[in-house]
Amino acid sequence: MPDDRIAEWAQGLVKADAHAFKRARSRFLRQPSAKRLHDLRTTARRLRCIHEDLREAIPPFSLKRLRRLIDLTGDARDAAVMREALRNALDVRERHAARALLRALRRRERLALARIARALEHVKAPKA
Amino acid sequence: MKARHVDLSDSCGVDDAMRRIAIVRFAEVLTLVPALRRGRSKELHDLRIACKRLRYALERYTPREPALLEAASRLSQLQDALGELHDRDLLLLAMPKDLHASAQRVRMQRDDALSRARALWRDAFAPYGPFEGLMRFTGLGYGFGDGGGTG
Repeated sequence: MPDDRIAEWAQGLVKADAHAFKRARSRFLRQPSAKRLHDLRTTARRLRCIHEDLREAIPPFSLKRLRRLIDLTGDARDAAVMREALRNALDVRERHAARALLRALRRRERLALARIARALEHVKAPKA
Repeated sequence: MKARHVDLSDSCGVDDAMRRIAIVRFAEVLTLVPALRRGRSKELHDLRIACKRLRYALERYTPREPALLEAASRLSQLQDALGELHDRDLLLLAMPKDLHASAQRVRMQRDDALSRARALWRDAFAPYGPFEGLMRFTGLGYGFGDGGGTG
């Protein structure tokens, strides 16, 4: 077991990251947007990373639901980014052929956003 | 790719704990960096995740060790280039076969992102370059600046 100074330092870091995640979570739930999705995803990933780095110095916390949330935010983000990248790279002669994919990506993004909102009801930040 | 365990059981103080974390995370990056030479999608994705883990760890510690700031910033740029590449790989997988010309453009963007990532990595090890502070802090990475990292 690491000494008290390390435990105190680690808990301070977790507390800051947990606070940032809670804030991003409530902002996203209030009004979802691409920026707020990005913040939610980033703060969730930071929280997961800090638990992986400092596992031995902080109280145990299950990362299962946080990981699930990160996967879902990844689905929404991937779909949005792919749609944007396809639009940018699209050859004008292939516009018609790309319609189905663009629609599918939009659907995928919406579905993932709805799942995120549901998943957030079950994800809580750890108490530090 | 699962994060490697960091043993803090007998670490003596915060500085030592942070150094141990940085060593494990930097070692993960160095192990995966041959992906830049091979250019394979899955390996590059794993490298990006490892860069992100290392960057997050360094950013937590920059208030105590400002010399790590440049490395964190370079890792962020590297992560962006690898992220662009990954996005293009995903798009290419999803694109139907009749989008030839568009797919060609996406492939060119992917190649650009890979070239950028390679240059960012190579340049990071230059004398007084962005990884100087990180190498001193961890004692790892010497020999990568002469091309050992990407061949």
